[in-house]
Amino acid sequence: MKRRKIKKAFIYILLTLAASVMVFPILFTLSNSLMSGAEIADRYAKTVTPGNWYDPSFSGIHFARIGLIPDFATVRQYVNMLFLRPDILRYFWNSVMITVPVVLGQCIISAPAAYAFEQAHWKYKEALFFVYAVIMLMPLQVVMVPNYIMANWLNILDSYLAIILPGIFSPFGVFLIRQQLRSFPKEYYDAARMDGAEHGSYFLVVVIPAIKPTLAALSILTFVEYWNMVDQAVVFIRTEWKEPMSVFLSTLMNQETSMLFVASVLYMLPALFLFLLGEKSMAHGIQLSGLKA
Amino acid sequence: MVNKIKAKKKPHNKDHRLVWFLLPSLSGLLLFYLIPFVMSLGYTMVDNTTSQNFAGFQNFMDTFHNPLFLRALGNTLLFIALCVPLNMIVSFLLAAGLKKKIRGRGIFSLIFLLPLVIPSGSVIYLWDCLFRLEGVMNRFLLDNGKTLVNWSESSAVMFIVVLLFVWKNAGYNMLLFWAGLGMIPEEYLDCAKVEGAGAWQTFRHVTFIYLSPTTFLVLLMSIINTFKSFREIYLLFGANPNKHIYMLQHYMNNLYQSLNLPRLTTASYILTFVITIMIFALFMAQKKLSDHFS
Repeated sequence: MKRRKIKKAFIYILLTLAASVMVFPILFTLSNSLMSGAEIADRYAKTVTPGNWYDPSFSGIHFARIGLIPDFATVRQYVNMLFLRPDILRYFWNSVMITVPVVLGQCIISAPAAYAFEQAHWKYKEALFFVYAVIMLMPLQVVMVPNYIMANWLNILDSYLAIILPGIFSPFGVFLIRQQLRSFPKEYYDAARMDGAEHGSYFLVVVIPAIKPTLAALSILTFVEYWNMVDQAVVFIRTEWKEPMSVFLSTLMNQETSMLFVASVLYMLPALFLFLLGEKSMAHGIQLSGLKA
Repeated sequence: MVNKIKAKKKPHNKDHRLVWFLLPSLSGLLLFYLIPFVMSLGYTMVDNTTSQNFAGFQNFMDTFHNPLFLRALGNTLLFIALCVPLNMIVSFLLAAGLKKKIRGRGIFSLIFLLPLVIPSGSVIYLWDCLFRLEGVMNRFLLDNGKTLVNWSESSAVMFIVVLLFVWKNAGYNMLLFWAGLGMIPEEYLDCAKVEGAGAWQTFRHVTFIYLSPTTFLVLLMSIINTFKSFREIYLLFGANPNKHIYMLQHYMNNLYQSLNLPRLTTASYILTFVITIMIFALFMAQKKLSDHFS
């Protein structure tokens, strides 16, 4: 008995250690957002300045002094961002403008397609589904080449459509929902048919409510994917003020560190909020996409 | 469409309505993914987007002799070889740990998923502070009497990036392993315990075998996900990072900036080919392994 308890305690300690490593960068960003501009300059300036000379340094190099607890907590930076640099909010809005259409579009387009895959009797159905799966597994850089060529042809480069449209038609949604539908009983359809319902009404009235958790999982996974997106933004968007926040944070990091932390926190919030709401759905979705085809 | 014509011969089977269900997704897929992909084959055969002289396989030859491409290829393979095993081991341990009935399991799994959900840009500054020339690691070295290391320029930068990847993606694979572990029949584990098998023996003879499909899946998803590491590397080091972490994604990304379509499409075809082969190989290997065990 005692041995098992020690084993459990050991596992607990290891897990806590792992958890703190995982969560440390997030806590770091959160707590640093409560630091004043002066403190941030003091901690993270790269050279010795009159402001930070008292900190140990080495021949002109000022070492970063990271910390989880601010010397002096203040919401000054938040105020600064809202009033002095409201243009940062523009980038936030850019991200929203890209992510929300993709999430909505994915759900609307993928669900009927997955239903069709499950219900249809067609010789080449599985071959086509295999094509969907392969496209889904390709790295972004590879998938972006066809997207780029088509965007070039349609003349929508440097606009959000170049990112939104391929995103809406991404095969991931179809794959995920179809995996869920595989275990959906076919008898319901026969029963509905006997009552006179056809594919359309059956789909809307029976299937959609039944796969709501999967739709939630798809929404969260797609949201996280496009909220964090960097690759497509770098390639398709060339104008600086159109950049989504994910890329702009990098500019802030190099130029205006004091704004970086607050902007990061603001940018984290929707992702965090949705995640806390739907963590179970998201975990379910990840595991579902892993069920072998 | 073949589907529609076939269905008309069976009027009692209203399958032809299903076409409308599939049509939006399929047409979008064709328009943005498949058709341009086939079209891009044409670009691989010309030497220049403007003059469009036929060049045959010259682009492929040039790419394979391009030192940048070869370096990117080597780094990518090294990155995968380092990341994937480490990630799989860490995520397996996490999943196995969470399988024991300890309190706070839900909170732990939530925390392990957090790095995946939080935008990269929000948290990479910490890594920058740790590893830059004026960073925490260098101060630690200095305090212990060693010389400073220019982390982002040395070959150690690969390890930083590997660590970043494992930090971000361990939770994802942990979920897959967790699901896989849950599918092992309880009876076998109980039987092993009754027969007096130790932890390692149980693992070798029961867990590992039933976990092999999941392991293959985790392997595949890990390799695919390594390509996403471009995000963090780009945000931290820019478009032209140190030669030790210059990877295929950077090679292709820079081709986008210079609008070199022939080179770009060549590289994408090569990558597509390699990855499709790899997916096939993994599926075949997994099938063979499961046949061998059952």
